[in-house]
Amino acid sequence: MAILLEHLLQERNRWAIQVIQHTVSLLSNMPLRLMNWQKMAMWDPGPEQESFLHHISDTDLAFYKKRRNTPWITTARNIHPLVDYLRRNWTWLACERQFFRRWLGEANGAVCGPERYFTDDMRVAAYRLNLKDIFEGFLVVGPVFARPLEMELWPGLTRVVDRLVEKVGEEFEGHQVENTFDDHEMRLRGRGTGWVYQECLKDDAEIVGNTLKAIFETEIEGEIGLVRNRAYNTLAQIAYLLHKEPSLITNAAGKAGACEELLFRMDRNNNLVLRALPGNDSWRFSLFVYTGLQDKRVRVRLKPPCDPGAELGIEKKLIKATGELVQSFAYRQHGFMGQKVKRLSRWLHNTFGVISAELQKNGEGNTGKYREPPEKDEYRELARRILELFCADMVSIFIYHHAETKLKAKIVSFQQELDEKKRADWQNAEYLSMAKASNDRQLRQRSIAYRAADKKEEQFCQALLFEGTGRAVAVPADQLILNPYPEPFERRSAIAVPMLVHGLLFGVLEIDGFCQYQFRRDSVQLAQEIADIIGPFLYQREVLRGLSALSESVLNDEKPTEKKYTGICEVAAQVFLANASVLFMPPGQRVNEFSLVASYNRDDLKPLIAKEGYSLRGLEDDSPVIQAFQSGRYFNRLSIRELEEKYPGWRDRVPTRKSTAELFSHLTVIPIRDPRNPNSEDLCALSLYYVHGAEGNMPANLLSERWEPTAQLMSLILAMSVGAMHTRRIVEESTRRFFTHEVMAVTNGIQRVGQKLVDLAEKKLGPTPDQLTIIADYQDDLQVFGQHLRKLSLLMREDRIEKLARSASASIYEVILREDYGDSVSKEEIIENLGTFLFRIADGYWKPPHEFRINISEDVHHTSITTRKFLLDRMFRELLENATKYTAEPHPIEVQAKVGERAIEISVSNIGECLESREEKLRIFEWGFRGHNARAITGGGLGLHIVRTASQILECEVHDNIETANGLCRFTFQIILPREVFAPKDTRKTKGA
Amino acid sequence: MVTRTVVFVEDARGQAVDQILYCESKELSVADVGMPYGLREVLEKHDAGEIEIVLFVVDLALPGFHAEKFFDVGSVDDKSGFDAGWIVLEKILRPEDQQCRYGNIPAVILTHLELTSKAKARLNAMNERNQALGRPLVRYLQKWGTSSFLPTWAKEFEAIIDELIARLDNSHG
Repeated sequence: MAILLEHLLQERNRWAIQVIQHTVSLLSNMPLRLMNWQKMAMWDPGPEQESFLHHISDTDLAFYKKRRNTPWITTARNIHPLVDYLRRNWTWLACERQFFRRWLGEANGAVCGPERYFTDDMRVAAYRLNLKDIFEGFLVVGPVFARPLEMELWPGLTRVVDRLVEKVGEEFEGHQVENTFDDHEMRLRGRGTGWVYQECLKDDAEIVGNTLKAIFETEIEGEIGLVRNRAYNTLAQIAYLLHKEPSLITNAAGKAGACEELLFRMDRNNNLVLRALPGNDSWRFSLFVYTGLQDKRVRVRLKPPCDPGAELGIEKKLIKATGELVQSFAYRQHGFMGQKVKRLSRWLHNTFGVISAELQKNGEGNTGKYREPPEKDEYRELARRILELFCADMVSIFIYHHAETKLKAKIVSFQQELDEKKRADWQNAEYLSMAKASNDRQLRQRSIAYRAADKKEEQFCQALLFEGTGRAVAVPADQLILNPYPEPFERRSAIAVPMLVHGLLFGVLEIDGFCQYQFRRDSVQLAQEIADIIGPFLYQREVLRGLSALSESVLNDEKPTEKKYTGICEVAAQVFLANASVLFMPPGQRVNEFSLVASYNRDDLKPLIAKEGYSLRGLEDDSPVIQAFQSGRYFNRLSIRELEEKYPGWRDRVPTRKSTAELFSHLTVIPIRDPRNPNSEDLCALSLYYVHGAEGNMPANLLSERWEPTAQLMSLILAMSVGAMHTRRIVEESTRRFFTHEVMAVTNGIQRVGQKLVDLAEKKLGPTPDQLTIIADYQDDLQVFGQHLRKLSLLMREDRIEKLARSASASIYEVILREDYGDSVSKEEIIENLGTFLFRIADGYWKPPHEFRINISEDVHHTSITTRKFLLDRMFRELLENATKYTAEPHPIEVQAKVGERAIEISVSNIGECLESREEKLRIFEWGFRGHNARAITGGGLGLHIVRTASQILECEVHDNIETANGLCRFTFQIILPREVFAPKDTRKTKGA
Repeated sequence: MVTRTVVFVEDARGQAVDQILYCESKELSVADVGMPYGLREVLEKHDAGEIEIVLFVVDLALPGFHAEKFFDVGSVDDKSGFDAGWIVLEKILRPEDQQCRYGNIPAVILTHLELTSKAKARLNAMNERNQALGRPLVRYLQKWGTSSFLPTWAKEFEAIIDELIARLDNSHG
């Protein structure tokens, strides 16, 4: 234990945090401790207002080392809960530490407790102890180590506290229950103080209410100051978790503090809960004090002078954040192509995923009390806080997929420990009811939240309705939540509110209560406020998750291209909350013509979407409607009507678009363009469909400008994805051909090279150029590999690969065929008699039925050259091989060699079937190219490529000449060996340096 | 009439097929040279008046292109050939020598390589010199994008050819 505590003390901030946490926590239950006010001594740091941090750091470790065996530790009652608490809350503390540390130095404070604990030596110890468990029942009042929001509200709060102490304390003097705090059993319940409060409240609710009313009306006018409690903090914490920005937290707190309604009520554990309802228009304070039953409530209204919380524009924030993303990734900082997609998505995930990570870390708290589902717990912390806010039994967050045939809502829930079987029944009932509702056409016009409520066999009696014009909220006349049905849970209640993003339904927040009458009309309003806060946040997370998944999917090797396209559509539908999405791609090399390659939609939309087309052909670029359609990406019935009035012929040109748009009411088109060149034509296009009236997709809500940043981001990522897919396709194709080539596929070396290629494509860069040369065994492999490296580098625009390719290609030219031919490959040899050398090779190919005419001039026989003999041999053989393969009998094959003025010319010519086009003629040296005339002949399209590559190595030249005569073609390939380069070594100047 | 010739200094002419075909469709003769020897031959033909070179299209990455073998360009440190196109431009087609016979023939860089800051500086330096000497500037066209999409650089290239032909016709006319 001592060791543990020592270890803990080394993390002094954790202790400080714990103290702060519990100070705040205790303060949140302030009325309870007010009972004991008279009995408590107060310790005040005095006018110097020493910081807590300073105080701690002076005496911290030294003190503890000296005193760790002192009686207060050993005799402190029930130290185990402290340690246990620490262990359980460790993660939470770790998360909060940074936040608190930031503000710790600025805080002033004091902790009060029984006088006997505040002897000189014990003072610091008091800071460190778990106030809840050990100093239970002590008064904690006065300046505390507070979060900024609390400090901001502090002046008002102190006055409230003072008045409360003065007035309420006196009133409740008779209810002091010292025994409650001392009683071990009560303490084990964790909230001994709660009992005190409960006892008071039952009898004296009116006294409390009147007192509060008197205080607020007389004293607090003009101040932002209110009683805070857990709910208050919860709201601020949600804001914090969502944004992590002090200003926003302050604003949120301000909003929460200067809210329209504050609700006090008791939860099942008899904790006091306060709810803050922000008001949008008028900043009135309304204080409702509920006592558990309706007839015991007190309502107080206040008028604060300030306008806090004016800035809680989450939508704006989302748009701004998205826009910044687009800006920052507009190819200035990062390159193009597939590898960047992953990086971008990772960056997105990291930037926004912090929230998620923190949420998960925070989830460690209160594990003893709640049962948490093991899966889908990313939003668990969020759900938990909402659950605390409402004192609910279960909180579920549904995310609706508009394009799904069946409802595949994600269920994120957080609930208290209950019978698992019943819980499962409850969730299943919910799931099924929502699914059933979504298939009912008549119900589509209503909010899914309402449907959820409606179809759950009226277990929900209160929900929000959607009117045809957007966000009109209708609250049923019956304000109470009833549950007439006994199964699966008796006497329960629930509310469900929609989460909206840009006016479109994104999901549903559902809160289930323990008992009937638990929720009221204001509960629904509060739930809606929360849904408004968390909706955009969750949407943002889901968007980024979708885009990340999209990038991963696009770069996934094993996934077929069709599935990738479908995946793009699926993500697009989810991101834009559309009922269907269609991806159009240009087929082949034709521009301005697009065909449907994939779609993702509900079953009932399939026949319509199948007819859809996308074409820019025939539309005038200067037409304003077309411009609106292209830039605004907004297409509805009205615009079509205008279009038809202005351009009567338009309908005939793009009939499917019109008919589709009429049926769907909404058609949004996002053209995907090359982000490097905004003026370029569309690379592909994404169409999104919104069924009229379904799930809140109202015309008024579909404002294109709101979606603009999202559309830009999507466009960017899609452009990159398409590029990545194309790159990947090239690599795949090359690799496939590489492997299937009949000659080369037999060697292991090829496979290794191919594997490297694949690895490169997957960005697993590792091998150095030296390793590459070792890996690659065969000359051709190396050549091909080098070329692919280069191609890859050019396509990927990755500096590292390009660098690698450069050095690798340099090495590749040097290291050739080491294993099979040893040094002979790169060894330069003198060919004494070039004529004989050539004749021997050509003679070897002279087999019937081919006729060879070998004409090697006398000069050649007297010529000697220095070169890489192997490569020249190989070149010549490839030409001969080529000629014998493609010659048409009985035409002879002619081999000539002569010595010119400055070069030796070796030519091989044959007559064969013509190539189809000029383009084919130009491409004959390409790797893997096979002409139209070669269809019936086996081969891999490598011979001439090898000749060409070898010529580059040898620094000689290869010319081709193709002449047409009598329906056949004469192919002449000429090897030109410049005499300067191929001169015998002793006469050369620079070779071999 | 002397044949108007466009010289493609390109090691893999298969990658410039569309451009070659476009030139040929405009009745320009095309000489593709992938090696210094061939380039020298073409230039000699031009000097002899057998052909009239009207445009150089130079690729930057030319593996195996050792210009120092056949041209007086001094020692060159470019084993890989990735800078060979630059050497051709800077030493042969646009040298500092004001008497260079090819300085007034337009030249275009057509390459896959990205115009990095380094390359940009190199290009700018060369073009400043060209401007000072009254030579046509060297354009940089980066082949980008995939074949299934409309390449804007190809459009630019075709515009250059059209402009060139119009200018030639005017001067002859």
